[in-house]
Order: sequence, then structure tokens, then C-alpha cells
Amino acid sequence: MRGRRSSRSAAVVLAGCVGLAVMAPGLALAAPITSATTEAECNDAGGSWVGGACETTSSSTTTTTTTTTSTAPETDTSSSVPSGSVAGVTPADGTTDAVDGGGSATPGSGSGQSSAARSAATAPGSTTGTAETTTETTTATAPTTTGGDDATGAGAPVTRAAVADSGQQLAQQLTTIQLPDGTTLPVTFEPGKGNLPLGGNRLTELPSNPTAQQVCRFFASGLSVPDAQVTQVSQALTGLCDRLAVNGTADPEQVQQEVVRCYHECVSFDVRSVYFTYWNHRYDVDCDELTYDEANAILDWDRSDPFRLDGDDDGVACEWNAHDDDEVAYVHYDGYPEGGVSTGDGSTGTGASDVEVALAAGALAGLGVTGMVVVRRFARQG
Amino acid sequence: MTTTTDRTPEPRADRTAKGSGVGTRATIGILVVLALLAVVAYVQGGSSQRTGPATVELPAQRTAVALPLEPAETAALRIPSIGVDTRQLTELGQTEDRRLEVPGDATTVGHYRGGAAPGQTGPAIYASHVNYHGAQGGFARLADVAAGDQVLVERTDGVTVVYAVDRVAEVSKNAFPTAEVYGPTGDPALRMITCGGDFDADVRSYEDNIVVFGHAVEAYRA
Repeated sequence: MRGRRSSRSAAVVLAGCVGLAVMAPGLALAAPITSATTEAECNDAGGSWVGGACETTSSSTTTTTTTTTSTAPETDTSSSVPSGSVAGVTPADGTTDAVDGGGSATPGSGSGQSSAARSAATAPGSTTGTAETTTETTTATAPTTTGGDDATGAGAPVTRAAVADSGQQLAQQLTTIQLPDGTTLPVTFEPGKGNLPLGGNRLTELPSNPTAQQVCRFFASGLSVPDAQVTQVSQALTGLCDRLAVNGTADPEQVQQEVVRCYHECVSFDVRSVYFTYWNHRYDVDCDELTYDEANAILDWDRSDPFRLDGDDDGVACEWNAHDDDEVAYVHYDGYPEGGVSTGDGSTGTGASDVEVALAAGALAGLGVTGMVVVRRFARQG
Repeated sequence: MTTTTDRTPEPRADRTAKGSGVGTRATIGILVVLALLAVVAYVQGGSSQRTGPATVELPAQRTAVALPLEPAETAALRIPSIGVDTRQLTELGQTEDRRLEVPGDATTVGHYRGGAAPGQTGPAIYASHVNYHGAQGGFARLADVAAGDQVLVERTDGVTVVYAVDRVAEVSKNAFPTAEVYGPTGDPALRMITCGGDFDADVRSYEDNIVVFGHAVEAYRA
């Protein structure tokens, strides 16, 4: 898996750039209090001591965290993460994946984009953000992200209009997510009129006080993505929504972030997506995003080397990735077989059936006998 | 008396001769017709050999399974329209010269392990001989498959994937559409390959391949 994370580092950098752009307001608020050089000074100044630096704890100084559940063992006290950011999640299992070129500039923020996104998809109970505002509505399985400065507020009533607005924001965020080539994919939101099948779990009308799962399905049911991404995005979001809380009242912002993370991983880190998108958009990939096997599979697929993976033209792509030993969870890609398939040796002729062959043999024998009879008859007459 | 005696055998001889002539002509006629039928059948030997319905009834009590599926090996392959129903399967790789391996006997159907598993996103690729070592192959009638025909692939996990044939193509081995056959697809797809076209006796190989293209319609557990 180390190779996998490494190979995604370039995409992580891109994601980090997007994340930083979105995180700028949060970073400004969370900037270290430079005058504080010790933990005591930091605490006195109203900040929190994280990784040797003093950071503010958002506008709310209340630290009455009542949200911790058994599935959220660790609070990641990094900078606040505005909605839409895809960085800064501590995996629920407490592990931290260090990825070269990670997208977060804040120490201790769990900058591994790839692993972060994956953990978000598999462990929605993870805790994100640092502004330890009070959250009263979390459940055993609901994500406990507090949402930072722009959190909608604990226990605030969730109106349909607010969720619909949140859906619009979500679509805008998804549209800004960049593919490895820097392009983006258009995503729109219109309640109940999205193009994702979602395995039949579409939700066009949002009930009052919706759960996280309902909000998730409502969002997903309104999203329209490019046709090439429909299947995989639908599957990813179906899986995400299935894992979200089915009781309690949701925080739309929080669900929004989960959807963003899920979508980001879906369109940016799935190799099948890379291949498939290539067929539709002809965009570029490079060695940082591919394992040795994947790169050479692409080179084998198209010897014209459309992605310039074989810079030294020695017939081997991305040599420096040769020692990657990745476990690929999807179809193992060996490269295509070449040419036609030798599935016949002509040993049964044109394919006439046994009955036809017997009939033909019988008829030929009969003609022979008839010929003999006719010859004998003429001989007698002669 | 003499006259009567002399006359009596003559009609018998005539009747015998006439009867023999009619019988011979009838026999010749029948044999000629049979021969013509045989010739016609022989000439049309490559025409339709569909032996079953294009589609079969699926179990009424089946439980639908969402596509795409996780990988699993193939347990059985059925093509009702041409009477293929086999559990004689193997996995195929590539030869040293990077060609698709073929099954080691006439009737076994091979699944290319480098492609998708049945029901998985991508093309699930199957190959079998049209004929081999004097026996008819597992895909001897593959060219008779038509668009709309059903193909059922049972997986080792008990899930059956139902494919619908989109088209059947005869392609030259010298211009094999590699990407089209083996390339990625957005949905679970099906490819079945065998030999076809003219047989080149010099190199003991058919000049073309028959390729059936299909897509997954549904998956279920019985």
C-alpha cells in the first residue's frame, strides 16, 4: 500500500492546492499565535497547543465536547476545515498516513489525502476539525465533524430550503474538484432530478429533521454528473449514504463534506476512472499517479505512448516505480493480448453437422448405385 | 391354342419390363432428390444452426443482485440460442508472444483472467474453439448467435449474470480490434471469441475471428 499512496502523491498535491484555496479563511483564523511560545502561554491566550504551535480554537472558546462516541476515538486538533475542503481527516482507527506532498500545510493535520479520503469513505465516525463547538446531535455512527467556523450550529433546525442550498453549494464544490490533468467535471444539483441511479435509494423529498443518511441520499438524488462518471459516482455515494446515520438530525454541512470527500476519491483516485476517462476526455496521466504495472499496461495498450510514460523510449514505462508492490483491489490489468485468437484447426471442415455429412454420404452412395444400375441396363439392351 | 399359349407370356414380360422401368426411374428420382438436398445442405452448412430459443425464462423467485459485482470465477456458461450449456471452464492468460491463450481441448470454454470477472465492470472475455483435433468446439456455432440473444454466466459465488448480445462481428485476425474487444467499458460487458471465415490450409488457421459483443442486463441469485 505504500506504493499506492506514493503513486497518488501528485493527485494529492493537486487536491491539496484546491483544499488550501478553500481553507484559506479557516487557516487565517487558525493561524498560530506567534507570541505564545509555551503551552501555558498558548492556553492563556485562548488557543490550543498543537504540534509545537499555538492555534486558535475558532470563534467559540467553549470546549464542552459532548460528542465523543465509541467510534470516534481521536479528535484531530488541526486547523478548522471549511466545508468543501478535502483535507484534514484523522482516520477513525487513529492511524496517520504520511504522504509526500500532502495537501495540508498545518502540522498534525493528517495530511494524507488519499488515506484521508479513503478513511472518510470507510469510517464516517471519524472526527474532523478543531473548533470544539458543542454538538448534541451526533449518534453512534454519525460523522462527528464539527464543521469549523461555518458550522450550522448544534441542534439547529434543518430546513429543506437550507439543505437545498447546501446541495447547490455541494455541486459547486464538486465542480471545482480537479482531475489529475487540472480539468474539472461539471456537476449540477436540482432536487430529485439528478442522474445517479443510486441503486434505487433515491430521495426526492426531504422529511423534516432528516437523518444524515436522508440528507446524503437527498444530495445524491439531485446531483447530475457527466455520463462517464455516473456509474462509479453512484456506487460510491450509495455506499457512503448507506454508512451514514439513520437516526438523529443531520448536519447538512457535515454530510456535504462527506459527499465531497467521497466524490473526490471517486473521480480522482480510481484507476478505472483514469482509464475510462481517458477514452472520453483524452487527458494526461503521469508516473506519479501510476504503479509500474499500470504504466506499462498503458504503454502496452498504446505503443505511441500518448502519456509520455516512457521518456527514454526504452520500451519500459515509469522505471522508477518498478519496485512498487501494490495490491490493486480491482481488475488486475496485464495489458491486452495481441492479435487474433487461434481457436480452430479446421479439423471438422466448414462446420456441416453430422446429419448433413451422413445425408451427403448416403446420397453419393445412392448415386453410385443408380449409376451402376443404369450402366448395366444399357449394357443388356445393347 | 398355340396362339393363345404364345400370347400369354408376352404381356407378363411387358408388365415386368414396364414395372422394372418405373421402379428404376422412381429410385433414380428419389436418389437425385436426396443428392440435391444433400448438396444444398452441404453448401448451406455454415448457415444458421440455432438450436434453441434466443432467451429462456429466468427463475421467478430469483433475488436481484446489483451490478457491477465483485470478482468471482465462472462456474457455468449458457447460450440457449446455440445450445451451449457447459461447466467445462478454464482460466486463460497470455502466451509468450502475448496472444490470448486458448483452451487445451475442443469443448472447454476459457475465461481471460486479465479481463473483468463476469458482472464486474469491464469486458468479461470468453474464448473457445470452433473445432479442434477433429471435434467440434465449444463455440462451434458462435457465428449463429444473433443480437438480442441471451447469455447466462453462473459465478462460483452463486450469482448468475444475464447478458444480452449486442452484435456479432467477423473480424480479420490481421486487423483484430484489440481495444474494442479487450478495452475498458463503463459497465459489465461480455466478449466471446472463436475462429471463423475461410480456413487457410497452408498455415492451418482460420483467417478471421468471430466476436460476440454483449452487455450485462441483470444479475440474480436463484
